[in-house]
Amino acid sequence: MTMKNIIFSIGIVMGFSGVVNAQYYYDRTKNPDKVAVQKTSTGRDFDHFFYFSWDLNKPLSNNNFISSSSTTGTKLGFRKRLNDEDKLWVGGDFGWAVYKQYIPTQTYTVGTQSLTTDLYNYTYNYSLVANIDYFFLPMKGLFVPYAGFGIGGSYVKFAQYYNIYGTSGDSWGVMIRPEAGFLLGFKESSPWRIKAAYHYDYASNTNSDFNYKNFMNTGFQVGIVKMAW
Amino acid sequence: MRKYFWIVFLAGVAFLWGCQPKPNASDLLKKMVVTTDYNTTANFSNYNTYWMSLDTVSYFLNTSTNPADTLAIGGEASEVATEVNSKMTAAGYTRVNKNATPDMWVHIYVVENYSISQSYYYNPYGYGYYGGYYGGYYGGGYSSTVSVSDQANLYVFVVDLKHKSSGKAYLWGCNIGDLVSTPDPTSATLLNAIDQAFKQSPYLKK
Repeated sequence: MTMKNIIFSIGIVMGFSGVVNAQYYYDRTKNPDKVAVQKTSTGRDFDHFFYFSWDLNKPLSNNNFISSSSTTGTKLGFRKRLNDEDKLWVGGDFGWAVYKQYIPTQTYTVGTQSLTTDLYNYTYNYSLVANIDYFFLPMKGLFVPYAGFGIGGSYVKFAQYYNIYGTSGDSWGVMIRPEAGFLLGFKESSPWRIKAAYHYDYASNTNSDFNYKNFMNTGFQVGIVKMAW
Repeated sequence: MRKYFWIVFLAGVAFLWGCQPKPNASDLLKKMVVTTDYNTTANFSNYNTYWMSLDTVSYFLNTSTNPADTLAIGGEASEVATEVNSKMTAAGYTRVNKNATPDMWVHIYVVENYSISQSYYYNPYGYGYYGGYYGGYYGGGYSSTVSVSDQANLYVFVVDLKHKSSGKAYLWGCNIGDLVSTPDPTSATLLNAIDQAFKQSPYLKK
């Protein structure tokens, strides 16, 4: 075998081997690339939660009847995640608050009649509101701020107590309630959290006997939240 | 979890709906309510004299059937009458004998409304056990509730004796309550209320 033939043979073998190598490298169906799996710790995929709050309220209207802040109030509610975006949550809550004010002894004169007494003015406020909340951060976080809006019904009972006597009236109305606050967990993906929120209430409740028109109120609520899945 | 929430939610709503706290009774009853009214046609400066009993107050109890049992004499009745008399004197009027043709008559009386009611309701469970040889059973029955209501008001009326024939007898009146539930064991609260009645009637003067 001449040197020319030897070089030619080596060239052919190397050429085939190159082809073989090329087939091995590009045939991904037989040897797919390994996909790197990114492992993250997300905890439970919470899709609803319940809460119970203490509610502090201050009336902004009808201050001639009651102007004192109320520390007697609660809210009981729930939220459900609207979709997998983890941002929009919908739900509802039931609110209860009692406002009261003592009016020291005064003489009230109407025509020829005069009446002297001290008064205890009370309103008992109930609301049932449907809510939608937008959470600005993922729910798994420690601190999750949100803004929300509620609309629903409001029932107010007005009462005036003096000695053994009393008068009362009531009114139904429509309530709207913008709200902003946050959920604060004890750790990431915490099943129990603290809820704190500031809310503004407007309700159309009116009662001419008590000269009461359009209930407006600001309030701060703080409570406990139970996340669930 | 959701099922339990709804149970708690509905129970909470039912509880809070009925939760309507009221003021403490001890605070409510510290002072009596004083109401006064007067006849706009009356010119109080035209009257000079009045008559009133100083030791007796008329007393009407709605449950009493004894027509003679309509007077409260001495004690608190006397205190009340004396207080009213002092206020009339301070207003410039002179108390005279009944036979001296007074211009006005001051009548003090108390009306007490006492009621007791009993209502029955059927309790279908466990009111009574009816035994027998082959075993007993619990049967339903009627239960009863009793409610008692008692309140009293003091009225002072000044009646015009100068114009009896015109039919415009009423000059001034006051209504003070409640006498039954006041926590004050003395008559101080009632006497203060009488003072207030005259204080809020500045037109009642000679």
